This record gives sequence, C-alpha cells and structure tokens, in this order.
Amino acid sequence: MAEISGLWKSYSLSAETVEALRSVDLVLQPGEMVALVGSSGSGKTTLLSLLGCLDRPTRGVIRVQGLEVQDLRERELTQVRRKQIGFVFQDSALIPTITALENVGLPLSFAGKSGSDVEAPRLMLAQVGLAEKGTRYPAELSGGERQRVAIARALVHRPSLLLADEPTGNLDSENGHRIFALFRELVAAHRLCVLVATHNVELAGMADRRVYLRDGRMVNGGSG
Amino acid sequence: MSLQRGSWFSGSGSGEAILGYNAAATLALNVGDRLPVGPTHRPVAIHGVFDRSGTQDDGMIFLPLPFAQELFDRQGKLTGVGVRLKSLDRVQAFLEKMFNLPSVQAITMTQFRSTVVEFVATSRILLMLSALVASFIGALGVLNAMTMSVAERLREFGLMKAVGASPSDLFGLTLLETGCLGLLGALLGTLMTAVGGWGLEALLRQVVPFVPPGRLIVIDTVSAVGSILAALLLAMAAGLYPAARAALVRPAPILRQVA
Ligand SMILES: Nc1ncnc2c1ncn2[C@@H]1O[C@H](COP(=O)(O)OP(=O)(O)O)[C@@H](O)[C@H]1O
Ligand SMILES: [Mg+2]
Repeated sequence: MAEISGLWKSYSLSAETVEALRSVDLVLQPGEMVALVGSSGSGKTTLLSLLGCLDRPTRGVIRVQGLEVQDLRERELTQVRRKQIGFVFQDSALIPTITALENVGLPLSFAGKSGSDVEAPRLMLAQVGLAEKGTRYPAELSGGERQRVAIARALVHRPSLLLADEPTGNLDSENGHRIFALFRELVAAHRLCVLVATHNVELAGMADRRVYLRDGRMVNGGSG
Repeated sequence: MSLQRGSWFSGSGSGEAILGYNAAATLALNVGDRLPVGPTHRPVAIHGVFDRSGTQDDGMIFLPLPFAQELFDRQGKLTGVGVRLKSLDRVQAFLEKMFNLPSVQAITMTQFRSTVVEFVATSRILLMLSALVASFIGALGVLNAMTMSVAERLREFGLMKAVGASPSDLFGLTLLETGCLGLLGALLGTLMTAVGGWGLEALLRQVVPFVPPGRLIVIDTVSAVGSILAALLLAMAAGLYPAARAALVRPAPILRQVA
C-alpha cells in the first residue's frame, strides 16, 4: 500500500519557482491498478518520481508499505527502492550492452541476491511472454518487446508498488493495449499496486480507477 | 705495466688487443679469444692481459695506436692523450704549461671523475622528472577518459539507481572500470618497456663502438610489479572524481529524458 498526503514539490529555477505539485493526496490499495491522467506538464512524472523515492518532496508525507520515506537518508531510500519499488519509463531504458535477461536481473544483482536467485529473471521474462528472447540485446527487440523486458525488470524483485511513466508513449495502440493488459494480469497475479501515468483516455479506461492531475493539483478521486 | 699472461703486440700489432686485468675478468676473455670492437665491430685477437695496476687502466682495452686510428677512421689523429706524472705536486705546473698550448685542453683525472659523476646525477634527475611528467600525463589521461565515459552514461547510472543501485554500487563499479583501464595500461607499458629496452640495446650495439656483452637493460620482477602497482594506484586516484560523479548522479531527471 502507498499513500501520499499534502504533497508539494517546487523546482527552483534561477528566475522563478515552478510549483509542479500543489498539495496532492492519494491512496493506493494493494491489487489495484490506478491510471494517473493529465496533460503534459501537469506533474505526472514529478508525482511518480517522488513516490518512487527518486526525488524528495518540498513538503508533505509519502508512505510506502507504512514507512514514511520523505526524510530518509540516501542509503535507506536505496533500500526502499530495492525492496518496494518497480519503475517503468516511457522509453524502456534498458542497458544496451547487456542482454534482455541480464537487464531483467539487474535489480537482483544490485540487491546482492543474483547468486541465490538465477531463476527469477527467467520466470519473469516468461511471464511477460518473452521466454525465448532472453539472450537478445535490446537493439534486437521491438519497441513493445523492450517495454515488456522493462516491465519484467521492474517486477523481478517482487516490489509492492509498480510505477509506470507513460509506458506506452512510444508504442502503437495494439502494443499499448498489450502492455496495459499485462499490467492487469500482473496486478492480479502479484497483488501489486500499479500507478500508471498516461494521457491516453482509452488505455486509462482499463485501470480500476483514474485520478486526474491538472497544473499540479488532483482534480478528483484522489483518495477514493 | 707488466703483462700477467700472453705477450706484447706482435710487429705492427694490427688486429690485436691487450686487456686490462679487470676488463679481461668482466668480459671473461682470455689470450687467443676474439673481441669485436670499433664502429665496424671488427673482431680483434686478445694477445695478452696486463697485471692488476689498481688504476683505471685495469678496465681498459689497449690497441696499438696506428691500428686504433685505422679502426676508428682517424688516421694520424689523436683525441686524447693520457699522461701520468711521476710526482703529484707537479700537476699544477704541468696544467699551466699545457694551458699555453693552443688546441690542447688539459683536465685532471679528479676533474674528469667529478664531471662524470655530475653527469650521471643530472641524467638521473632528468630521468626521474620525465617519469614524473609521464605519470602525471597518464593520470590526466585516465581522468579525462573516465570523466567523459561517465558523463556519456549519466543516464545509465541514473537508471541503475532507479532499479536499486546504491551510490556505493556505482562508485565501486566505476572505480573497478578505472582499475581495469589502469591495469591494462600498466601491463601494456611494462610490455613496451621490455620490447623497447630490447630494441634500444640492439640499437646501442649497432652504433656505439664498444658495448660490454650481456644484458644492458634488465627488467627485474620487483620493479616491474612495483611500477604496475604504482600505475594502478595512480589510475585509481585519478578515477576517484569520475566515480564520485557516477555515485552522486540524481535518478529523477532520467525520467524526463527520452532517448
Ligand atoms: N527539474 C525541473 N526543473 C524545473 N522544472 C521542472 C523540472 N521538472 C519538471 N518541471 C516542471 O514541473 C512541471 C511538471 O512536470 P512533469 O512532472 O514532468 O509533468 P508531466 O510528467 O505530467 O508532463 C512542469 O511545468 C515542468 O516544466
Ligand atoms: Mg512526464
């Protein structure tokens, strides 16, 4: 479960201060897929990076599995990322010099359990339908396949929270559909909490629930 | 000087040599052996060996003057004449007398020796300085290469943080890479030293009139391993800054860049 309340994030530029998030509240239940809908610049990426412990809020509280993370030290944040968070980016952001399977195994090797768990990346790849393509390099995969490898990587360490930032932004509608269908499957299979940012209304319709951001404010349905 | 063994030059003495006591010992040569000398490395026959005299003469190779002039293509000319005085207190008077002769420069053995000692000391300092400059340039090269390589992959490092890498993971990873680079460079440098030293020795044997036999440049294991370790250490030191940059990368901005 993840929860944010009263979340503010301002970016200080030389001339002005940008208020990317203005008092956002949101509760995500386990086994729930939530679409984060908003136009470009509305604050979706900012919200995801704060919830994913990649950045710190200006004000407000973030709880991941009951743990308040906003004031944690860097190494503690690393631990939270390692245990609780899976991230999927708009472009799949795979490391180009290693194979699909090795990319999927990255979170485990950083968490120091690559030795004990060699099967997990293979299973995860099979689960996203790419069992046969583990030895391929990212450049040898299609855009949709790369994104599915990225999803496998985001889930290999069994996080409680999957955050996806416009994961279908670079895909055609058929592949976009498959990715969202895969999310649905994974939510059910792992009792995951998925927060996926999109501005595709049709895809957002596949989520259990939609929350809307406009100019850094939650427009409706924040905690419902 | 008296002969310890062998005999004096026969007749013209062309193609013959008499060795000083130490020269015979260090070169392991005996009467009847042959020794290549001069720019053409012409073999000359050892005719005799002098008794130990306790002077520089013990380390010299003596040739008959006309033969030596022919060998070095200096027929009828002299480069230097060694003069030994019976009484040392007449050195000053002798030097003054020689000073009046045009085209003659007189130096005492003491002066000569101190000049050689100074020369060796100066070359050693020069050598150390060039080694220092070379190390500095090498370290700068490593710093530059790694800083560039890290800067190119900041996005990759940010991504690794997003999937669970800690700052120390990235620091270690980058430093490991620098270490590999440094080790590779050190091994290559040692190899080049061995090959280059071997080539230099061959070149010396070609152009210098007389070179003692045996290896001139010896690479001993202790200094080879020592310099490899030193190079590795230097590379690691140069790698600290790029490693810190990789470690301190902020993961958030990578979300915004689209490759
Ligand atoms: N690092 C930054 N520095 C300054 N302003 C930023 C930075 N990141 C985002 N912003 C601003 O914050 C607002 C929200 O951006 P973002 O979270 O990326 O929105 P979205 O993902 O919905 O497009 C935008 O106005 C954007 O310009
Ligand atoms: Mg965005």
